[in-house]
Amino acid sequence: MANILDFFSKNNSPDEFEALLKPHVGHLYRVAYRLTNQVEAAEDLLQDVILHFYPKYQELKKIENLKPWLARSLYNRFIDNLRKNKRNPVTDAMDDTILNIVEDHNVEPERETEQALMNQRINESLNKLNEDQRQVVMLHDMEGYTLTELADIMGTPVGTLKSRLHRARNSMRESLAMEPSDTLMRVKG
Amino acid sequence: MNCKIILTELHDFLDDELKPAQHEQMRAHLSECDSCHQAWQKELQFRQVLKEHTIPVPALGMEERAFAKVPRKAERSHKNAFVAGFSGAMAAGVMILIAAAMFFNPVTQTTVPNITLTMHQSKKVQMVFDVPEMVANATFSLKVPSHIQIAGKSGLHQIEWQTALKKGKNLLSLPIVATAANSGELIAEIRYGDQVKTFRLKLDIQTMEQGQLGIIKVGVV
Ligand SMILES: [Zn+2]
Repeated sequence: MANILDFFSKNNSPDEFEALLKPHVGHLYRVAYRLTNQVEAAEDLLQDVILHFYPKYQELKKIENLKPWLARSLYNRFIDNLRKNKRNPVTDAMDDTILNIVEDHNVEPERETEQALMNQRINESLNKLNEDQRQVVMLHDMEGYTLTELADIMGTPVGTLKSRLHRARNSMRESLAMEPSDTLMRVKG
Repeated sequence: MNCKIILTELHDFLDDELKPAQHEQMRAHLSECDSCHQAWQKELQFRQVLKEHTIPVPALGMEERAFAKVPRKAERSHKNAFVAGFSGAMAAGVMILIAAAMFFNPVTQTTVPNITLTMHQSKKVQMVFDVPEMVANATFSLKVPSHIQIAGKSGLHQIEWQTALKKGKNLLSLPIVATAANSGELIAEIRYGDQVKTFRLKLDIQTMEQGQLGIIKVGVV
């Protein structure tokens, strides 16, 4: 949908700090959403971590590959927050619903329904995973982080991530009723 | 390489975790062994399904909101209470969708929708403007009463900006917060050429610590 609210940025003089981080905001939002599973909570986490980056601006400027570094900070922040307040914010499910209605109007109806249904099924199968499995499958299989990157971001050995991923995928294949490749192999071979 | 080994290494192959030599061996086997090829295709298909999983798109202005807690240049000397209060209240944020179909339609808005704000709690007002054809240069203006603050624009009660409207739905997502318990009106105006379209939104303010969830749709106006 077209943005008619450019004025948020227009009247603020461009800021070095913002200029440095802006290109990463979209991807950080995705990671934040994958971790929190809620639009509002993801935005909160994003605001929180950006505020946290602010005093470290000089340090940030020197980092060559910001993307994984930022993702790791976001992840750590998320874990810290979880520990600090074991609160689980009440889901404002309406938020997402409204946004979906608003955003999806360009998709062809048939494709839209098909996609929405599959999305729904995937959400359900994701909900059956434990938190660790969910995170790794979302960040690896959905967001495209490599295992090496994730090992760094999450502070977890590659081997552990691999087995979480393996279990997560098996569980998802099962709940999505998709034949696992090894079953197929056993049948054929 | 036999099929059993292939099977155990298929995931590493797809995850690009194999050494180059192993990777090549794998590729060669998959091209000549039917059952392994099928297993590989199945797995690819599954991965594709996962890749296509979508997440909700945040309301427009997310990039700007991401920096909401960071002090602005002009405000760095004294931390702005509004910005801080605004971000803190975001978790409790509520969206209100105002679908305003219109534009060249001469009929005017007949009913004034209203929303209820809780004092000091920000609320996102989502206005959708359905435009029959693209407008390259429209002027938008927003007017809010003095006790209503627009996120990131504290102290400003009238804002005007130029924008392009695309054909179809255009979203204006406006986080606002009330600082006093008086009701008031938000006025949005779109000007294009000699046409002016005005939208009014009544704002009722409550003092209770209770958010309200509501969707307001203004039909064709
Ligand atoms: Zn084989």
